Amino acid sequence: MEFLNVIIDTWNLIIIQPMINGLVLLYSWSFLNFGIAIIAFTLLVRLALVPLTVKQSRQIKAMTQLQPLMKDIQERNKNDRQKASQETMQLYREHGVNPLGCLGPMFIQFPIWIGLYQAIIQTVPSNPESLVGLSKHLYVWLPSVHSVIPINSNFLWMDLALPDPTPFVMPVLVGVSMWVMQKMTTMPTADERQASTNRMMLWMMPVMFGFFTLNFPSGLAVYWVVSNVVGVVIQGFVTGWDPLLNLFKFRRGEDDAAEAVPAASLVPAPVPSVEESNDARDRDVGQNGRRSNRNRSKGARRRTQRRRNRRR
Amino acid sequence: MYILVLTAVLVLIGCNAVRRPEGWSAGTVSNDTLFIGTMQGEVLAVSKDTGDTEWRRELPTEEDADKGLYGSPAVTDEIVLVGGYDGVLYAYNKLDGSPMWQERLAGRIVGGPSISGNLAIVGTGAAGSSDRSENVLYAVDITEGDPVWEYTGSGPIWSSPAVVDGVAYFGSLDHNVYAVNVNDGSEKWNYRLGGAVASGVSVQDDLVIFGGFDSNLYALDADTGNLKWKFPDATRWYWASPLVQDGVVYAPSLDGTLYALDAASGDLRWRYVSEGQLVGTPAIINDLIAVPVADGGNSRIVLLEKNGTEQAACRIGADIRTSLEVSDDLIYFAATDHTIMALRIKPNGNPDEEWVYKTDEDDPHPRDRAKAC
Repeated sequence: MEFLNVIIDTWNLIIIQPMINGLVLLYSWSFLNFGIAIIAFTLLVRLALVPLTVKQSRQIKAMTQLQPLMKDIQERNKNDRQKASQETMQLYREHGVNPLGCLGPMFIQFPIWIGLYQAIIQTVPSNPESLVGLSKHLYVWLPSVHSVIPINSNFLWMDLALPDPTPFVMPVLVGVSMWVMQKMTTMPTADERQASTNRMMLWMMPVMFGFFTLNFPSGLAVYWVVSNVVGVVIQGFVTGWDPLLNLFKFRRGEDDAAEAVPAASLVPAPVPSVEESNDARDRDVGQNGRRSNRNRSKGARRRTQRRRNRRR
Repeated sequence: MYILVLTAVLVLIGCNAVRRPEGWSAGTVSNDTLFIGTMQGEVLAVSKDTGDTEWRRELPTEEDADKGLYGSPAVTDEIVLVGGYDGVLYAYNKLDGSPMWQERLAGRIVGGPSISGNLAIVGTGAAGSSDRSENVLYAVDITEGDPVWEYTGSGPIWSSPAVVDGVAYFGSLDHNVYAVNVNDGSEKWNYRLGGAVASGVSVQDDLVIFGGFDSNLYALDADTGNLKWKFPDATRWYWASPLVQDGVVYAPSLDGTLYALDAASGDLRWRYVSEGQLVGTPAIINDLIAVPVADGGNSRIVLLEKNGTEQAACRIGADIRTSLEVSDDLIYFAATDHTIMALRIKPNGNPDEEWVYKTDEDDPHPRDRAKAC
């Protein structure tokens, strides 16, 4: 129990208190509008995390580019999982890709997201108990934060301390923005089971967070929406906007585009190393990242088939 | 990735959505009965000597988010008045608890009502709301429940008004303390400070004494509202009303310190530093100062001599957010473990648990508790 208290105190000291005081300070600078303060704070935090986010996005892109070869390895060694694993690791080494590279930045960002969530909940007083609780988190040496308490939680049509009264606007915005974010950042995989899980998560996460929004303070929903939009923008600039643009294309348009791909392009070019220039990466991904991956996979399968025929 | 998602979900669920108000009603003793609000949103009348139930009424509040009783009940010869967090002022028959009337007011009620003649004076407003129409001080006729006048402020009024010589003094979260004439609701004066005022004010010897969120304690001239003195030593907000007796101000602060000041000059006499927060107002009993110290499982009722020396303490085991009510040699208060307790202060100054009333028989986490002291 003592150990747990130490962890909670440390968490509060390092994460929660700086965030709460930062939020209140921004509130005092943003015309006493807590909605603007949440938006500004989310932007600042995401800005501070841009190096990590970009690194994560590049790792995702690198993994995307290796997918055809990984699929090839898996098909060649479908009865020998150990060999498949060794070859996959060898592939990662050759191309300087760290399969856990996507998770590292995520692990670092994770406490910040949880902290920000808790900070918003605690800064907006939903009842007298939460207002008393706020007192111990405000810095004694920062008198300006005390002078603006209690926070005025009205923003647009919402009371940021309470769930959206409409009550569908914010849940839908959260769900849609999270779906787009998921679509942009889902890491590709050659493993069919993993791909299936990814597809499930693509829908489960937005639905789940949309449902949370029905019951949670709408200040948190504002944070989720802004955070998702910023995440989509960063991802778009780093890895391209294709996943987002594809959402607006009709099925027929996709098929036409697939037929228009020259046969030569179906044969995978040597996979560029991650160190190569961004331009080269963009060319490899093509105008339609997901489609060109699919085509490459077909190409890889045909090549494997040719090898088997030769062996016979 | 999925471990992270799962953890996020657990954290989100664990932190709850919008927390339900719990309330922290203090008690009021009238004749042989203690009237007090419970954390389940009920009004309770128990024998002050034995803790036996006389009557118990649940407020007819529909939404859980609206349940809660914060201020002390106001009691006359015939009725018991309580202000609900749902914004309704309820009147019950003092003898059997039967409902007499109820009046919906403009905003939530946090400070308890005060009685002045045939009027109940009570403030309304929710923290964070900028809707001026919710921030009103009402005078309500206690026989019928009809509002007689309204005074609209610019911020929520959580302060239980102190009514002295036909003037109601109260603080507001809009950073002001107001004096309003009780006969017609007209403003007599207001004083602006550097922070919100959630607590009630104490009026003694023509001084209006109160603390604010700017961590200062103020004394104003009751007639003019002019500043007499200001005490700036606290490091955190004043949440509870100060207690004034025999020319000494006992001011509890959320920094965990009880400040004892000379009421006339504002000079510090002594300070008692606790390890918790002082959320409720202390009380004087048997020439000792009883102080509720909120510190989670280490919460205590501390008994101080009038020079600030700790005489004795009683560990309660749950937070105490309420002010203390005193009658004869008994102290009454509610704790956050759904109990109402009575402590007897023995002639030697040591506390002894007299009785405990469990307000929630369905408590999912009952304590197999020994006597607190």
